[in-house]
Formats: sequence, C-alpha cells, structure tokens
Amino acid sequence: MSRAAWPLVELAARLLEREEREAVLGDLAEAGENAWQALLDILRLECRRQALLWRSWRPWFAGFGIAFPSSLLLMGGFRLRDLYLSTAQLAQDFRRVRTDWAGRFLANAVSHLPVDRLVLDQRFCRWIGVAADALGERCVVFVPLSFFFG
Amino acid sequence: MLGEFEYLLITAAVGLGDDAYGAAIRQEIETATGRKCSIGALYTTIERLETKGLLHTWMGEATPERGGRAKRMIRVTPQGVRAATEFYDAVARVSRAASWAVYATGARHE
Repeated sequence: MSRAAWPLVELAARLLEREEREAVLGDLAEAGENAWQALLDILRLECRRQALLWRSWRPWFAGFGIAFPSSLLLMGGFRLRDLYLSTAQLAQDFRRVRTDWAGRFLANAVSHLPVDRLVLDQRFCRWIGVAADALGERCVVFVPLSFFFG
Repeated sequence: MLGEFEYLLITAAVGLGDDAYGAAIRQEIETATGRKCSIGALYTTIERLETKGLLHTWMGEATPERGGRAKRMIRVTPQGVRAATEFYDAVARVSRAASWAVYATGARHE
C-alpha cells in the first residue's frame, strides 16, 4: 500500500466505529491492497452503512412524518405572525395619522402631513405585501426569510 | 432463509473454525467463487447476521502483518448452522433434477 495515500484511507475510516475501523484497516493492510482500492472499499462500506439506516421506517417517519410537516407549520406560523404584526402596525399608524391630521388641519399645521401620509402609505404597501404573501402559495419560503433578514 | 452471500460467509467461517475473521473469510470466498468480495459487502453482511443471531463476533489479537490492528473474530452460532443447513438442503432439493447435479444427496457429513 503506498504510503502517500494511507493517511487518506485512515481519514476516511474515521467515519467508522472504532472497532470496525480497526478490523477493516487491519484486513486491508493484511490483504496488501492498493491504497486507492482500499479508499474505495472504505467509502463503499460507509455508503452501505448509511443506506442501511434508511431501510428502517424510523428515519422516513422522522423526516416526512415530523420534520417536514413541522417546518410547514412553522413557516405558516411565521406568516400569520408577520401578518398580525403588520396589520396591528397599520391600524395604529392609521389611527395616529387620522388623529394628527384632524388636529393639524384644525390648527392649520399641514406641513407634517405629507410625511405622515408617506409613512402610512409605506405601512399599507407592506401590509398588502404581507397579506398577499400569506395568501399566496408561491412565496411560502420567502416569508420566514424576510422575517429574519428583512 | 439465507441469501447466497450470507450462506457463503457462514460456510467459509465454519470451514475456518477458530481462525475465522474478516480477511480470512474474504480470501476464502474469493478463492471458492472466483469473484471479488468487497469489504463493504462482507462487513455489512457480518453485522446483519450477527443481529439475526447467526454469528457471534469479538475483537481478537493484533498481528504485525495487520499493522498492529486487531482482528474481528467470527464464530457461527447453532442458529447459524441450522440456517445454513436449511439453505443447503433447499438448494440440494431444487437441484435434484438438474443435469449438473452430480452429487448424490442425503449423505451429509456431520
């Protein structure tokens, strides 16, 4: 076995359990196999080990029975929460602007009105976006992302 | 019922007796069948048979030709012998009428 590739074989064998690693590396050394062949043998063994895990019903149940539905529920939860927060914010802004606008109108202080209306428009647009997003199916992935990064 | 490779492995292990371990069994199977026996197939089958209770394995001593690494020793359990016997009997029965079945059945050496 060529010395140069032996560390690679040992590195690949680290994925095996300790006793199995001992036995397999010993067998390969005893058979005097080519280093690359030994590396392939170990990788094949590891692939078989991983594939065997999926013959049981448990990983399928954990993946498609628990993790996948839970992730959908979580995404739906984030969407609803985002919609709720956005609606509450919009309602609050609307009330504030309406009150301020009436007060300022009466006091002839219209200089702040465009700014407030801009804020209200921005909130409204955001709410429209979130509501459309909550109703739409295509943006299901982007809502949680925008919740975190937006 | 055993699979073909499982039967080969058990039979090789029985033939090797106290010297049955991974590399020796692999060599035995390759010599007997003329086919390459991969480490992956060997060790996954050993583990499967041990889970079924047909084999018993333990870590043996290390030798210099193995780079100081321990062997995984293998012993066939009585259930393993029974399963291999059933497989052999089934093959013998189904082969009775075959033109290539030259050996008389029913004369098993215990």
